[in-house]
Amino acid sequence: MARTRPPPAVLHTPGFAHYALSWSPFHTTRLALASSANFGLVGNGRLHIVSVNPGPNGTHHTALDKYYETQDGLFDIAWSEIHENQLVTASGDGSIRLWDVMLNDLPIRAWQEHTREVFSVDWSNIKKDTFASSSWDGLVKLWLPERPRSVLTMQAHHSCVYQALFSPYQPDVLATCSTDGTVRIFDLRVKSFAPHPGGGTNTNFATPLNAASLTIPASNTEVLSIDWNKYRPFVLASAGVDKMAKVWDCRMIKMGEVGQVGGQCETQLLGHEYAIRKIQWSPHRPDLLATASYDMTCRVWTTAPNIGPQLLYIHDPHTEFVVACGWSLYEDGLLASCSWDGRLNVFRP
Amino acid sequence: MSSSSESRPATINPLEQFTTYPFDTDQTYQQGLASILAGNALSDNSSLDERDELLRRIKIFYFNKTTGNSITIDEVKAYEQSLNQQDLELESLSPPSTGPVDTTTTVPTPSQTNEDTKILSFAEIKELIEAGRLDEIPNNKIIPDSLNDETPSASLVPARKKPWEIVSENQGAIPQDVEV
Repeated sequence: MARTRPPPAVLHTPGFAHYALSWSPFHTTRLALASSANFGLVGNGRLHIVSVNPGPNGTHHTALDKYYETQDGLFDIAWSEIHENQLVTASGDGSIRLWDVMLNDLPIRAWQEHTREVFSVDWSNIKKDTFASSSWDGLVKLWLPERPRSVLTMQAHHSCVYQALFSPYQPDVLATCSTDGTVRIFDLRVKSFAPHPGGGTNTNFATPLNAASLTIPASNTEVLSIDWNKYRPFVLASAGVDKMAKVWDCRMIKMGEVGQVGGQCETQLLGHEYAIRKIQWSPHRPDLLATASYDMTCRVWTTAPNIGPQLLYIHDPHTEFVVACGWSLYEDGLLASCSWDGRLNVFRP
Repeated sequence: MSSSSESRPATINPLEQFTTYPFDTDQTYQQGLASILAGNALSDNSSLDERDELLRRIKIFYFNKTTGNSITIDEVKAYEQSLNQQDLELESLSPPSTGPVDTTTTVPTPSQTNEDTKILSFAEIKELIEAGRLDEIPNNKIIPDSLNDETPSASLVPARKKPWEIVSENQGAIPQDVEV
């Protein structure tokens, strides 16, 4: 990795701080960028559709294909796994919107069930008609794009759920992470108590939690991000306010049972100076992790057992919090990071 | 960005300047354009409208950057309509070039031409919020809360296998250590 690197390809969106990025599962060179004006404090959101094309000598260049304006800031995005032109956005006002990039200006659907900020959306790669949302209201909801209401509501935590992610291997398994310091793995087929009538909004924290199959006490403070390893089923990475990235071996889980506590921490990656906002495994390698941090860097790590866990690369051109990073799905080794500085950087670590 | 408008020549209408700008003979523009197009910025399923739109955006971006103006795509469209012009002529596709391109793309935002030109710092925004001066906060407009009336596009592309799905097919299923 000690070769000369071309400078990152940059897309600057003045006035709009980024919150999330997502590569299209259909088009190699397309990604979407969720952003908020005024650092998400107040004002509009903007969804950017971006092309990242290879240029000469290993360089890349970016182009803004189009953007959509929203009333409130956008915190996350997920491309449809079933329709190449569609994607959902998660918004600060609790709304979720479905967009068709062949149309202009307005979304094709909108849902308003969460009562607080929606922090994550994730589209199932196995049940390709389903996506999940997670919110500050402690709920995780499952949705089918054509249905007017959510199809399942779970009280996953009593506090903010920063992320909910489907397993890449098991169709009915979903992991969450929260302000409460835990990571939970849910078997969606197991309902430990009756769902709320109509699956409607619910902010009553006296409500019993949906029982998780496994609860991992991952941190003493907020867990902001998780990801499933793509090559090792039931291995997850977590990261958050404790500045550490941790790898959890959860193969001891017994699906069908609820209330298990555990998860074996096999690796701790130290180095970030402030909280880690996003963690993601490589889609191409079982040992490669990228992290984005409030310390304004994006870092790449290996967890390969033969050489031991190591920091491989620090990307530091950003001038504000780096809030997200994402590996290109189809171009091995290409990484994108985005930041409150309004810059999307695409580079090869 | 904010200093760019100061260098704008006051006597020439920038929109007029834009429509007469010699994009066809500007070598730097042509090289940049060629390398964007060579990179497949226009996917095969781009409609003519999308293509038109992208080319217009590229031109506006280049024009603003080169001349120090800050015109927006909406202004250009309105101006073109007012001239009752035909659609902007499509740029001819010159052969791919490996000429240098600036790797930073700055998105021209409509707000840059409005009164809220200035991009505020976190501290400045916080101050405005705390003082209740929300009307002075940029990018805080009303967006229509309605849905698109147009028919959504049809999906034509089959789902694509993820890298880990391809590997597990080639090597047999990844061992399932957990009974599910």
